[in-house]
Amino acid sequence: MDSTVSVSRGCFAFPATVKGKKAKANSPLNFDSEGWYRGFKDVWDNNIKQLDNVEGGVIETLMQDLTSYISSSTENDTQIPAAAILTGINLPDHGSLFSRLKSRLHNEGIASGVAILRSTDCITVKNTVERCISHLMESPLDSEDEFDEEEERQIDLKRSQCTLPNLSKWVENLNSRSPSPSKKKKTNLQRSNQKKLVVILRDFETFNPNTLSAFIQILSGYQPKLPFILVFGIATTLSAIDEVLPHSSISRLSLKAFQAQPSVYFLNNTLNKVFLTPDCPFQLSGKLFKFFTQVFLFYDFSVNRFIQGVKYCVMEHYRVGGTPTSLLCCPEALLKGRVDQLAHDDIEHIRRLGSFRSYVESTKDKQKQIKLLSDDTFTKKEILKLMTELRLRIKEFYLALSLLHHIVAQLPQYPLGKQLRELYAVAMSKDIWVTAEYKECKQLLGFLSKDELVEKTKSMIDILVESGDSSLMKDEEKQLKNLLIAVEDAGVSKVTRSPMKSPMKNLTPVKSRSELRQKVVELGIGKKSKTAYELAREDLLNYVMDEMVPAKLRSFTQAPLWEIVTLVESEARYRVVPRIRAPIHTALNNPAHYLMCECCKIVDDDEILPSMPDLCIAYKLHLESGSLINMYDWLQSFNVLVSGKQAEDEEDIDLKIQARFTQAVSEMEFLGFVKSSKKKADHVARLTWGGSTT
Amino acid sequence: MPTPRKSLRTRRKIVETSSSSSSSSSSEDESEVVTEFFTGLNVKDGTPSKKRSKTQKSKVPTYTTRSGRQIVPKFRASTVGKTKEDSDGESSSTSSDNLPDSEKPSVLFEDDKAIESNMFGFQTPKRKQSMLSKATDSVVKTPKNDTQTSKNDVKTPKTPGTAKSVKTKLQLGVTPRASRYQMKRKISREAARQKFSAVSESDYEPTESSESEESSDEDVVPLEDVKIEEPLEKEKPGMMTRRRKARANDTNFIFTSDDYFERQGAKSVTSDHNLNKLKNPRLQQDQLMALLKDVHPRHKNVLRELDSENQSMFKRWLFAMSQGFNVLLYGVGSKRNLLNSFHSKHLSSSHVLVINGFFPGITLKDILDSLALGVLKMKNVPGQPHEVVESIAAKLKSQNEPDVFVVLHNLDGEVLRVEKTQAVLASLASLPKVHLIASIDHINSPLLWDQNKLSQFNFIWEDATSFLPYFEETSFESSLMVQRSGTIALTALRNVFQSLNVNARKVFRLLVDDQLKNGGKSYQGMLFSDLYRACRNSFIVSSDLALRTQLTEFFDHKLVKHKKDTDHLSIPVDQAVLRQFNDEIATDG
Repeated sequence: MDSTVSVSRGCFAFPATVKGKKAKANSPLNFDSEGWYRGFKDVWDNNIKQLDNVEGGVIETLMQDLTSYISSSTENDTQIPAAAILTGINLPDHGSLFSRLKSRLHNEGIASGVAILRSTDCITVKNTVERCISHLMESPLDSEDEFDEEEERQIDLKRSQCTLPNLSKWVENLNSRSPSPSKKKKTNLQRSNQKKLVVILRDFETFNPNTLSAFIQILSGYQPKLPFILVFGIATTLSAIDEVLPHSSISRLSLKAFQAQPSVYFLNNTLNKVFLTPDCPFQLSGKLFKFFTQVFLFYDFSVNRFIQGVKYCVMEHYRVGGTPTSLLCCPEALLKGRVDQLAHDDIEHIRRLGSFRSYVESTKDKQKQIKLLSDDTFTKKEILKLMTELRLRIKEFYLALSLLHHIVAQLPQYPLGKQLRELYAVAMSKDIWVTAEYKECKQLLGFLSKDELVEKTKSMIDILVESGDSSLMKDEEKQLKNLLIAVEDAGVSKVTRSPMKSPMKNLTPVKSRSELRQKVVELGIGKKSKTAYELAREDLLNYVMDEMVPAKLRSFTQAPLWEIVTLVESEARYRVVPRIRAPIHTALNNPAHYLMCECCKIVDDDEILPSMPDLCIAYKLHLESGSLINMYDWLQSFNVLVSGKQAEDEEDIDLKIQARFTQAVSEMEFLGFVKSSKKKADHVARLTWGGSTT
Repeated sequence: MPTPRKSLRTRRKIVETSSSSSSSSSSEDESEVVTEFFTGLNVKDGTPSKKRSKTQKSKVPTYTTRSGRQIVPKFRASTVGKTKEDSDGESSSTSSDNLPDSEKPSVLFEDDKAIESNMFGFQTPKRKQSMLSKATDSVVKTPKNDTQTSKNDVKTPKTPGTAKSVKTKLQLGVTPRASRYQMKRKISREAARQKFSAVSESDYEPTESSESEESSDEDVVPLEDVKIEEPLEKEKPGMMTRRRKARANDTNFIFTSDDYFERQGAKSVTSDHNLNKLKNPRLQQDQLMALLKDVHPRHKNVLRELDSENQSMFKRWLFAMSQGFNVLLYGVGSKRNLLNSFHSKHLSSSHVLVINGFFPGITLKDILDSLALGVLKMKNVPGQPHEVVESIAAKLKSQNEPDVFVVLHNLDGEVLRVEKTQAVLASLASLPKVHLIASIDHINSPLLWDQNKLSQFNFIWEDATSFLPYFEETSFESSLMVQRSGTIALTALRNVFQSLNVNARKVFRLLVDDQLKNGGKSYQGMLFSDLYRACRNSFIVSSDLALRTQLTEFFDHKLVKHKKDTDHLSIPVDQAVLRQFNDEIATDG
């Protein structure tokens, strides 16, 4: 589109030609017609609701504290009540916190106006005051139905009219026709306290100190007339207040600190309640899950970002998976109806899934095999059966996971981690019972006292009972109960168990000295007499750790049709958390990787071929140099490479080659690999480093 | 040994106190520590001994021995492990790596072949001719490859080797040592590679099996394998190649601060050649463009394939945008064409704002105004950028308003690299009805955004490597380094000059003449007193004050720079441009 090339302009507007309802339907962002879209939308909308609930739950106590503080703050002529919320460093999550606070204050009729200020809006005192007041006088109703009225109001409300005297008039006016704005909150209005004006400063640390202290002084001047309350969102520590504000301003405030829940707590809650449950239609694969949790823990602590990342992977899962995924990856209740909707193509698609194929191959019955591959109605039934089995298996998995989590979460040193998510990550990616940490856990559990063990077992049984589905793991429950009775009955009297295994053990060959030592120690222990309790404990643990868990905690990614419900998206995750340098380097160093052409194939990383793009040649040559590069030498080398011969006359270079080189160098500069340097004439400086270990 | 014994003793004391935690350590240990300190001391005193050169060569080992075994692990544990553990309160379970007492970002860095690979490698000691010798190496080698056609990797490096060392000696006059070194390096690298490939070949069975094991539980392959067969035939090759691409793409590069300091410390030696040795030292912009037009484009078909492969991502982008994400393209090559075809293919009937971020004259106000006035046809637009964004948000809230697409070429453009601009763009992009699709090229551009902005932008990062030349992007004067043709500076000069009155023109010409006569690298400018004298001599001005008034006009238009401390006047324009200008005004009269 050549219309966007210009030497005098940088912006080009293309207003839509079609307008109104028609444009809406033709919008390129409209995916309603796609088969897979509905499945995604249902699932994700449901998820959003759940996430919302979780978030509400997490900040509930904080909200209550805040609202009670704000509503109960007493009249004070000299000081402005101020709440300092220690929000933590996960700034992207705070937006929803404050908007929740705002709507809550409005809904409960505590505040007549709430202003949320960001430091970017408040550069000067004038700005701050105007913005604050226009926000305060805004109508609390944000719904779109009322929008047209609001628009008119906004036009009425000119910036120049946003002054404190006007605000006090507005408040007086509001109080005089008192019951009008919200009738339902009469009780509040009857109180002697008038409605508050709440000013929220989102990112306290980044405010300009001078502006802020002046703003506070101004507000405190109006404090007798107007019931201001300040709320600071502080990401670091309380001492930030001392650093930002001078004493004269702080003395105007009566501060109270509130602590928000740390974001890790928030994340754990989100995971346990939304994603890591058998009810969640999709399941995260171990690697993907680990990736996002680690991005959270090591990069940003932001739950919001975490959810966005997962969302994108879910989107891609449905988009790539197409209709069958969209139909089958749904809550279990809908499964039956959805399977019926499968069309022939969808079933063909499912037949091509790796796990389904191996399932077919593994069935012994030849007749059934053929039916599975050719008979659609039969396959539908089979799919339904498999999906139900898969769901059952997932349920068992989670149940076993929570049992295991229950017994290992409090062990000293936490060999398997404290949180359910850590356990999940391991269990999803490999057989947990073969890991060293698992064995360590078992060993540690062997030291439990009777009381502890009984208590743990009992609560394990409780979990099984509470799981709701009575058919699930019934045998295990029974077995556990029996073993529990045995443990409870067992005394501490010494009983020796017949050493039936020990002579056999001696026969096994010993490979190293340490192994021999271990054997000897084991034999020594084995010979020691054990109490009845110890034996019962051993039995119980053997059952739980060696039978029950391995049987139930099998990762469901081995079951047929697991691809339908499990998010793998190994590529998509790097679109959310990118790696930028690597593709650029690869492209420049080995262009054949992208171009897929024979002429540029290289064996060794260091090779340079004249057939490569000019930029690559220049790049690869520049890798040879130090922090400064001589342009002349660079050009000569380039020339030698491109023309394929030694230049007889160094001064005379083919202009075409020189032009190509020139373009390549300016592109290198554009990409940020070199920049012109004043250190030496006709030199450029390299801007990259690193990576060398040899 | 110049060091007195006393200092040695004090040093020992320091060692003793420093290792106070292990106060019961035997005397043997202690003496060992002391000797270690002593070798370190040796180096510091600058004894010109063999030891010194040795220690400097193998930088890393000395570091570890000198800093002591206790320090290194402690440092690691305290910085990496503890803090995280406290805040999170969990111990390692997932990673069975060498740091057992903390959770490690095992997945984030897992595919790191890059640590071994020599990205941006600096292992070559930099010699004057290294680039040239590299180039000749390659030239010598390539015909071989062509004739042989079968790429026999064992032979290639060896056979040209002998030929090369002779050739380089003859033609380049590189010291034989350098070439010998180069040879050695080549051979050792080749040997290492062969060893590696041999190893991997012998281990082929086990690695394969472990991979398949992994794939059974969480590899994407089965799902995608099926996918390929299904979609439209047109997309087929694209999907294939992208898949291949993606597989090998799983590399990450980690940069350590040590590398940086190593790099800064190294002295770089370059030759004293300069471009003026060439017949045509610098090309003009238009000349360059004309020349490049004649250059026969290579890889035409391959590039087209790559482009169609990139275009197959359009649907994905649209879906991401419909779900509140914005799209950011990165990768080598100009992404302008790709974005433009996206625009014409999918957005032709929607509100679109196209921004050339690489355009040096662009301002935030331009962007916001053309969005508010040009696209949305709003009536009154406030002055402050944030207020504009707010009013746009208010306008878009209405259900009847269609979505707005912002196509931004180079979000990392030179003038957009301002914190405030990015903040405004981020808040604009975070509006639900504004969809941003942008490209970046600079390798460090992700540093522009902090967490907050990133979450506002909510990017989906797409690799859109195209290998197309950046003609448009680099066409603006400021991005060209080799030749400043100065067309823009020249026209500016011409325009201002023509608007001057006769006397002022004369004064300016005096300055130009002086600068052209004495110009050079060390040219300071013309002394004010000299200029005054010259002016008086040619009856241009009569007083000091009159001259100064004339000059203020020059200063205002930035035609002339005034160094206050030395009272020098100079024209901040390239010598060549000035000469061209002088020729012009001479012919004009």
